[in-house]
Amino acid sequence: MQVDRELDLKGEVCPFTFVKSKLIIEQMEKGQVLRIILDYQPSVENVPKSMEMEGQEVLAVNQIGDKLWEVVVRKVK
Amino acid sequence: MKLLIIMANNPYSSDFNTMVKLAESSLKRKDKLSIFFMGNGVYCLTHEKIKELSEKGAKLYYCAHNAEQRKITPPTFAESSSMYGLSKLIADSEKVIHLV
Repeated sequence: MQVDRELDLKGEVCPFTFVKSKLIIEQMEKGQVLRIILDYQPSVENVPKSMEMEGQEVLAVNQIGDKLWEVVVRKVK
Repeated sequence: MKLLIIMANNPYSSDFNTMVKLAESSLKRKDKLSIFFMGNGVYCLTHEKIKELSEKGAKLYYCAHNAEQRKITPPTFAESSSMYGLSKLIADSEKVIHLV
């Protein structure tokens, strides 16, 4: 999967995890893919949920380490 | 009516009793009731009365960040949410009651 932009949000908590993700995705073109790195579990559930409520497509949510996750989102609108 | 109650006070407060009474009245009226627990309101999730409200048809949400900060493991009948989720609930509701 081609990732167009990556956002490292290690150390960030809600609501900044979603707010910073939204600010980046607003700068991207439709169809582009954003990979978000998170280490805060509540955000791992809520960032994808909020992205879907925003109309974006969540491609994957994977645990990639001990207390480390990636959320992959395609910009749809 | 779509009613949203935002509960930000603990289960030992007078607001808790107010919330339960309002919620029960609302459910009797067949309102579409949502309750969002945030701040110290997330402690209410452990109270037996909240489970009863869920069983009677109230939709329950909580701020996952606030629950994590307080080391609470929320029950499965409540849905994990966020400030963004709350903003969507407010926009979707006809009346909002905020108990702080």
